[in-house]
Amino acid sequence: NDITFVEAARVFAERILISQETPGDRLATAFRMATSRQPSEAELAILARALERSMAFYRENPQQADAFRQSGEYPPAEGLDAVDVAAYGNVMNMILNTDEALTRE
Amino acid sequence: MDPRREHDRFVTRRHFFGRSSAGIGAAALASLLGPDLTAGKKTAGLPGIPHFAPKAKRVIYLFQNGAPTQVDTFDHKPELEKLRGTDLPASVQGGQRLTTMTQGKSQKVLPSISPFRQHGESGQWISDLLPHTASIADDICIVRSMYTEAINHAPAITFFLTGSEMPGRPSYGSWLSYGLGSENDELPTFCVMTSRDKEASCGQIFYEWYWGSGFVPTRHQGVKFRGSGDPVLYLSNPAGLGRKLRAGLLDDLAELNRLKYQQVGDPEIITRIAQYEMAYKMQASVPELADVSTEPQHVLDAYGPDVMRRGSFAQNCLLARRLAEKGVRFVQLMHAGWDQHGNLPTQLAIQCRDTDQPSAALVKDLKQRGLLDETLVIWGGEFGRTVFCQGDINNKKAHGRDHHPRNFCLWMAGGGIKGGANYGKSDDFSYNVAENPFHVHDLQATTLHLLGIDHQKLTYRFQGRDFRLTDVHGKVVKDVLA
Repeated sequence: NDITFVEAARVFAERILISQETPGDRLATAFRMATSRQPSEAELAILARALERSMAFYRENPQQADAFRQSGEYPPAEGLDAVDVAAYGNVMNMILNTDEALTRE
Repeated sequence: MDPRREHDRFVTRRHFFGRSSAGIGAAALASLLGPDLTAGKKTAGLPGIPHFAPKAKRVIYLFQNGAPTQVDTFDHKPELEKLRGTDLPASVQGGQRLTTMTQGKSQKVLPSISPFRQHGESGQWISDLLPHTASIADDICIVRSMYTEAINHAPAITFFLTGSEMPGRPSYGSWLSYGLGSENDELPTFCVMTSRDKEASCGQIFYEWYWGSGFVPTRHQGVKFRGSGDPVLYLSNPAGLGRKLRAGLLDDLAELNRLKYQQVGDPEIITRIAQYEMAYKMQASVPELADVSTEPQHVLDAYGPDVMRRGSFAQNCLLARRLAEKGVRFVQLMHAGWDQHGNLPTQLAIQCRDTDQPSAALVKDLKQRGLLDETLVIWGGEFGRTVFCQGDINNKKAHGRDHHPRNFCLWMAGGGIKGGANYGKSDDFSYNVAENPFHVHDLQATTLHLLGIDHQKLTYRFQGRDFRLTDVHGKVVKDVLA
């Protein structure tokens, strides 16, 4: 919940949204960037479910999406939908919080 | 560490069940891995523990950082008045090691700066500096023959709290969390709060290893509640993150982590899953816990004028009671400011005032709620202070007492401890133990005994050796037990 960590997830999401087209590519790329490996199918399915969960929440609560989009000091990227940024941002936050991304073994 | 060997160690089924009492608790693991991750209220400890029926269920340790002077608080030596300003006899000092602060300097006897009186039916001798502690004289057992190995603060505190002067061993609370498990899965099993004297007159630091878990799994580490801002760092959700969404995402995250655990078998992944789960629960349980405004006025008054000041020892004592009520196993309060090398006559009274009333109020409050019988309260520092004066004995504004590990005092209450009792005696100068020495490892062995643990049997194998809180020492001192 450190704001800098949330900000990192938010900007990570913006970057993925701009660089990748489909949800599948976006999730797989983000996962690979954080862990240096491709996700398994099971992992991808969990990520997809998390994305769906987040999308549903922010579609119902667009003001929350706007608030999320302002996290941290880094200027929000132009031309992106706040709901997309917030939903992906939450999934990025989750990926960055996996044991694998946090622990170097 | 070779990850493949770690993997083999932790995922072999036979290993789990065969080594369960020494490795990670199989029962605890099953409850964490199972589908009902959040259902149970309790998390089991190790199988076979408690070893016998416990008297105490939990511990509140009121650690007095900096080393309270025994000469001016609990060790009454009226005869010393006649010897004021004379040299401490060499036969008493016995060539013992001193700190560099008083080595080679004169050692003039400085009697207690405060008168003593007898209190309660038990007639315990307690200094006038501690009037509230005096009011619980019949509930406490004063040990007047404590001694330790270390002569400087950090090693001595580490020795009390981990059983070793070197950092890196599991702390007392971690051992209890590991061995006995948790009684409330909404709060950490081991909670820590720190405070210091308002004048910040000494530079003691609270090192994180004082509540570290060493080599036992890190979920047994103490969780420190802070005295300002969020009680637990980053406990509040940032803007734009709803609690309901959080819950769902944490489930997803746990599933991702569990997949990884199945592959690599690192028990620290289980810790991480449990920590996220705990953090989520604490988002609700901690603000509720920390809100002392729901306490009736007479209770607040009992803890003294500082009770509403966040981060004060008084408020921490009240929070300790609230944690005890919720079944938290080990509450470690640490209050710094007892290190009066050069300001004893001016600072000690302030220090006593800040800690005396809250400590006594806690014992009374627990008693009034019927919790004292099952809660062991320990009050004491890492060593004592010298009977001889450090600095100019004629300058009351600039003298005090140096570190003294050879003999000091500590009190305990509740949880199977004999009230209105005392144990051990010092010599005429409060310098050496004269009767019934009580070592730090004896304290650890005795208090573990009250929790139903044989201190020789609570072990953890690490780097080829079975470690325990009492190292290879310690004896249960039955005379202090009720």
